[in-house]
Parts: sequence; C-alpha cells; structure tokens
Amino acid sequence: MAVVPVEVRGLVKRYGDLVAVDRVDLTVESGDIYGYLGPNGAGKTTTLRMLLGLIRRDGGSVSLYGRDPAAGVEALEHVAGFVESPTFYPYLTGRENLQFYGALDGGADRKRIEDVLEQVGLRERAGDAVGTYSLGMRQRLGIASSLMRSPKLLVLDEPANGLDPAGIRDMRTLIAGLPERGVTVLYSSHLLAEVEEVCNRVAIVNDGRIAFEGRLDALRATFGAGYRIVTGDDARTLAIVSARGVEGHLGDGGVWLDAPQDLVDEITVALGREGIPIRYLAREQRSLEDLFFQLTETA
Amino acid sequence: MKLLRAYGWETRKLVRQRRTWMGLAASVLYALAFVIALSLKKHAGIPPDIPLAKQVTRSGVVLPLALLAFATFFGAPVISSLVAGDIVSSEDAHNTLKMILTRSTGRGTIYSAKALAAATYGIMLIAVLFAVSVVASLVSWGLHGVTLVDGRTASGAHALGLVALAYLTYLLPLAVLVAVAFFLSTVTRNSAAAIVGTVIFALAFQGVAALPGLKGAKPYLLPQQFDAWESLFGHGGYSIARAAWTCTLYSLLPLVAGWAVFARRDVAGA
Repeated sequence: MAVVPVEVRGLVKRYGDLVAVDRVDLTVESGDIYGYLGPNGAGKTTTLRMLLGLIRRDGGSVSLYGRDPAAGVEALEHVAGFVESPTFYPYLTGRENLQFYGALDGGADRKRIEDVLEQVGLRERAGDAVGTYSLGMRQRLGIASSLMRSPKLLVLDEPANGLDPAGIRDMRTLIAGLPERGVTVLYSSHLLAEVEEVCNRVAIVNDGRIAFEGRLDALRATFGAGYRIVTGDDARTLAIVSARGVEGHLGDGGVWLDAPQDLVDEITVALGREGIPIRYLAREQRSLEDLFFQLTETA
Repeated sequence: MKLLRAYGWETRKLVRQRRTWMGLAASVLYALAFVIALSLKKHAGIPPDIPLAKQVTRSGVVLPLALLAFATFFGAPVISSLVAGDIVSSEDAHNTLKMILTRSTGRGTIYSAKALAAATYGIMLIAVLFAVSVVASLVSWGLHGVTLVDGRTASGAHALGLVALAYLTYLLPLAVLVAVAFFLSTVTRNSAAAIVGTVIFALAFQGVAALPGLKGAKPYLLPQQFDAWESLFGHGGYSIARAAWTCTLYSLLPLVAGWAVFARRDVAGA
C-alpha cells in the first residue's frame, strides 16, 4: 500500500480548557492540491504546526510519508513549508537567508538558489537585506526557501498574504503547476476563490473540528445545489423556512435552502400569505464561499 | 558536519549583527580608557589588592591584569551576555525558529551550534581585550620585568606569557556567564531579561560569597574562580584546577537545563 503524504487521525491540541484542535482527521494524497479552510481561530495554523513538528500534540497521530514529525526532523525529509508568514533575518540579504536555510538542509548549491529566486521573481532584489523587503516579497522568499528543498509535499499557510493581485495570480499559477512536478500541496487559506480555482480536495474546519473533508466536487454534490430565494425580507423568510423544519441559511444574495420541490412550493405560499414579496427564486449551484459559511456557521 | 555548518552560520550571523560589534567595541574602549587615564595622570594607580598593582606604570604587562580584575563585577557579565543572552531569544524576536526547525537540522544541533557560537564570542571578547590592553600598555610603559606576588622576578617576556595564561584562565568563569546568559536567553526568550538576569546572577554570587557563614564554601563559589589567574603570579589561595572543574560544572548546569527547555519547547510564534 502506497504511503500517503499526510495522514492525520484524531489529532487533538488543548490549551488549558480550550480545545484548539478537536479529533481532526485529514488525508492528503499524492498529487493533491489540498485546501485547508476555516475562519480565524478555527485551528488551521495549530494543525499545521503539529504537522511540521513545531508543537506537541495532546492526542492522535500524524504521519508524513509514514513518519511521525514529533519523532524528529527526519520526518520532514520530503516536506517543506511554513506556518503563518515566512520569517527571515532582516540583517541578511535574501540570498544569504536562502543560503542559511539551505545550509540547514545540508547545503544548497548556488545554481539551485538562483533558480528558486528566479521562480519567485526575486533575483534582482536578492542582494538586498530582507529588512528592506515588503510583506509580499518576504512571502515569495518563503516560497523560494521551501522550493529549495525540492519537496514532495509543500505545506503553506496563507501563502497569498501580503501579495498584490498580480502576485496572487503568480502564486496561483505556481501552485497549480506543482502537482505536474510531483509536488503535493497542502495549504490553508481564507481566499475561497483561490482555493476553488486550484484545489481538488478541501477540508473545512470550524472550532477545531472538521466540518467537511473530501473532494471539492463531492462537497458541491453534497451541499452545492440549493434554492436561492431573494425576498423583500430575508430575515423573516429564514424564520418561515426554519418553521417548516427546513435548514435555511442566510447567504450572499438571499436565503439558501435545500428542500424537496413540494416543500419549496409550501414556503412560497407562506411567504405570499405573510405579504413578503418574492423577487427571485431558482435552483442554483452554490459557490465555495456559500458552502463555507453554511458549514462553519451551522457546525 | 551538520553541527559545523550550523555553527559556521551562527558565527556568520553574529558577524552581521550590530550588538556583536558593540560588545567588541566596548571591550576595546574599556582597555583604552584605562591606559589613557593612567598615562595622562602622573601619580595615578590601581587598587593595591590587584596583583602587581604598584608596578602598573613600570611595566606594560600589569595593566591587562587590572582590567581582568575590574571586569569581574559588571563588565564581563554585561558584555558577554550581550550576545549570549540574545542568540536564542533573537530567534524569537525575528520569529525564525519556526523556519529553522522545519529544515533538516535537529534541535540538538541548532542548540549546540548556538552555544558554540556564544562561546566563540566570549573567546573573541577576551582575545580583543588582551590584544588591545597589551599593545596599548606596552606602547605606554614598555615590556619590563616584574616582581611577582611571592617575590620571584619574571622577565618581561615571561610576564607577558603569564598574562596570556591569565586571560586564558579567565575564560573559565567567563564561560559560566556565557552559559547563564545562554540559558536565560533560551528560557525567557527575551534578550533584555537575559542580560539583566546575567548581571543579577553575577552580583548575587558576589553577595553569597560575602556571607560570613560560607567561608568554607568560598573557594568553590564563582567569584573566587574569576581570580584564579592570580595563582599564576604567586598568589596563594587560588587554584586553576579548581576553577576548571567548578566552572565546568557551573557551565554545564544551565546548558543542560536550557536544553531541557529547548528540546520540548512548542514553537508557536507570534
């Protein structure tokens, strides 16, 4: 049986009474671009920290290509990445920082460093002290320092942070092309449109728990289609929907609900009786953003 | 190999930091200030309890010894902890531990490389202080023979050799201060706290040594080890061998305790 890049089972992290990560299961398979989504404070970064062996877990297991990162850096042999923003020594140049991190990997030759600097578009500024870099440039240097390890698994935490639109586009192109080069990607993001565009699998985490894990198309198939009703009073509409035992959700552009046709008919009649004008009603495919809010607000 | 590589980079990082040069500059200024002050004032002297004090303006080999004696109380803890107290906590300040610890070098190697780099800085400090004080003193007062504490006489060259050995001996207690600063840097994650803590540690040891009930323990306390070099000049009551083993013990304790913290530490970052 092939060893998967990431296998997390029942992962738990507690800070006192707070359970930051609560029995999380994740499976990232080779070739995946895996989106790890969740609101701020959901436990995404804490999970990634445990994945990279930076913090100890209170329960469960983590396996990176069959090795436990808690046992030592050997488990990170084919893994690269960073949590939160990548950080560097401000008094060293971009190139020197890469040389330093390369030295910790056993040494990186000059050509490799120049190659990755070129890939992230930092070659011209590589001789400047990192203290003079913008947030976006540091982010790109972080990607460069990760790529320098020639990883099979790249773990990125909000890699688009601080990037301008062109930088975000470049980042997306870079990430989308990685599986072709044999690199599996696990990345957390709050930019749902980005995730939707490049990821094939996602996990949505809320309050430390996984609300959904699986293929993006499976997420859409399970939760994706629904009725969108736009009325003169969405709040009262939601109350009417809920009163009929239907799970409704106030989303972007109206009330979303998933119910059989006859129940939807009943709701429209009820809205009419209540004098609430219906301006729009259709069955639609929902965006990842809408699904995200449904899963994280009702979980 | 990994340790050598990591150590090489730790020293390279030190070279690129202002505080490293501030510490070295402070030791240069410290030496020069004494030489200039004594040169300018005709009847100036140094406290008589410092070995060979009366000969300070007769031979250039004496003042470097006085500098060692003066450094013990405040200068050595401050200057040595300037780097040793920062070398781990600066990783917290720059939030770089989370990057370092996801590379292929383990925590033990990182910790050892940093400890070695901090020790190297301590050696550099002493080397610079020795070089500047000896050169400036010899230029001011020349290389002449001296009468040692026990009445023996030593030629200028012999005395200079003893001064060099004295500086080497001084590395033993200095290593303790470096280890304490390193420990505090690891545990507090705050450079200022590590520097202040090291100074308090040194002063506290001076206070403990002064307690009347601890007379029997005094030869084994840290302040005594700072004066161990005096035995080279015929001063009884001091022992370099004792300084070697007590200082090794005093250095190992904070280093091991620091490692226990560093090895298990959660790197959560800011």
